[in-house]
Amino acid sequence: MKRRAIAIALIVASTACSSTNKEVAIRPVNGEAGAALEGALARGDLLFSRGEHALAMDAYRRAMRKDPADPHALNGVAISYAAIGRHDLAREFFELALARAPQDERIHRNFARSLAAQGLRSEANALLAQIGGAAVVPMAKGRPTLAQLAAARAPAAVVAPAQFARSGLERVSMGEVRLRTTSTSAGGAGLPGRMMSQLSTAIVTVADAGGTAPIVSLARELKAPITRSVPQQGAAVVARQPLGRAAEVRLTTIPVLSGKAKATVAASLRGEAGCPATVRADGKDRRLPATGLSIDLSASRAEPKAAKCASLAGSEGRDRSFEQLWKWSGTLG
Amino acid sequence: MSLALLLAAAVATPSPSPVPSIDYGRMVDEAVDGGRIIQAEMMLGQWRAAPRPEDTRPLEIATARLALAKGQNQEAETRFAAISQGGTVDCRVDEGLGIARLRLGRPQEALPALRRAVDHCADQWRAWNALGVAFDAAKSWALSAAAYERAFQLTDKPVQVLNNYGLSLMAQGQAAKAAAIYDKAREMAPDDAKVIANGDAAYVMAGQDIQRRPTDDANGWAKRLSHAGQVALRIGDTVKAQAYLSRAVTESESFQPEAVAALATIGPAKP
Repeated sequence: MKRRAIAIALIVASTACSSTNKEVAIRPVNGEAGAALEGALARGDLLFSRGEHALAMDAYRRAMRKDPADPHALNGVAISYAAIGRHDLAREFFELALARAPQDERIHRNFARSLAAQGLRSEANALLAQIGGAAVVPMAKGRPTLAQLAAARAPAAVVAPAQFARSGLERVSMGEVRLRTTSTSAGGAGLPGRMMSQLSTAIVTVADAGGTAPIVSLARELKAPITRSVPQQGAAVVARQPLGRAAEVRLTTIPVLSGKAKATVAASLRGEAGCPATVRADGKDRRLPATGLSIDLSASRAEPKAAKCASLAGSEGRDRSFEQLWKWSGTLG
Repeated sequence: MSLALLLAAAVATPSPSPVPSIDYGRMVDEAVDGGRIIQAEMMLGQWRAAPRPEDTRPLEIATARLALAKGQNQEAETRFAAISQGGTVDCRVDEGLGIARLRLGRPQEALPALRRAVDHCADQWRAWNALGVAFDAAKSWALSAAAYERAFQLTDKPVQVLNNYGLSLMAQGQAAKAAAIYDKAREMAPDDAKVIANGDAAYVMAGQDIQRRPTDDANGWAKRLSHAGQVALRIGDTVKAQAYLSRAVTESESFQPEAVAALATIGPAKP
């Protein structure tokens, strides 16, 4: 009897404590929403300035969840995408940021850098011209006429011998590069004015041995005949380059290396080794040397020498399929 | 007395400076011209949410221009035509109407609108460029060359005009001149796939060989070779077509179905 009474009492007590409303709503108290937004933005800025772009993007996205229309957060997501080379995704967020803050010069400049990194210089200049940051492309004066351009003699179709003769590396996959060496033999070509060439291809695999010299191995070798035009004058003798020597020379710069070595090579290739970091003491204007992107949104702040350091990673050309000539492939505004 | 002083002080206090109003019309125009569709669409939404009474027609024009920029050509044509029939004289309307009709494959109907556009606003390079395309469709080569020339001298995007003029020259059978034009275009836009492809076509039609660029990887070069082979096949140069297509197959890192299919149409080489 006593036990039953205790059990009933417990049930009653627990029922009284439980909520009938099953929906759980989490709401910020007082000014915590604004503080959370500011906190996320500050964290994003800090992480971005440290070069931790993925984490910065996460912080900016958290800020976006607090306020989807905040131009600082939108700009942050955009520059984070741009910094990791995803300019296609960055573009969407740059446009959203510009729609929310159309007069913000900082967003214009960041967007222009992203466009310039993709090779879209005219588009970048047009964007900068809207904020007075770039001179409008001079027109008419000094530009030749189309008739003059069409009358200009087209360059000879043959390529400089050295260009063909040079062996080189091509990235095949993340862990493989392709070493091309060529040798040629005049005469006996299938087409008049052509030279038969032997294309030797070696797939070289490089493994990172953790601090020691990278381990190189020859994965496979392919050979295929190619033809090319005979140079007009001074036909150069293209000698086969010894595979070992070529590999030895090239392996110091191939991007299969990981970690700091890769970053150093990439930075030196971009010519940014001497580009100083511009992290201000007040923490309001942080521009990363590797990206040149700004994360402060105060439009009044000047940004000298931005163009010199403005270079983004991942500016390789796009690999788009060619359109057929037979479908009209002109462009209309 | 004290109350009067307080009121006087209240009146004398300068009111906060008014927030500068956003010129949505200009900004949407700039975004559309710059190809920033997301921004343009969003700003148009903001503009629609708080329009002024005089914004009705500019909003309609901006909506039509946005539809054209998004490639919704039929909708754009309908909107532009309605605005034009409403008596609005605006270069952007005539230009948009002409371009929409060109894209819909109606160059003859596009001509009057484009002529009106360049008559009223002679500095509109897009209208001149479109007019050149419309004249090309009518095989009015002299007129198209003049229109492209005007567009080229006015534009800040000369590559587009060069591309269209190159196509015009190829259509006239002047492939060597077209090749020279595409050389210039490649100088300006080295990574423009359309310019590269059309330039290769001009080279093949002019009897010249295409060149591999330092930035071409194996697959990119193979695609160019495949494309050049198909162009050679179209102009009846089977020997050259076979050479290009064979190289496309052997030099590629991946299977090139188009090159293989084109090679199959040529058949085995005769001894």
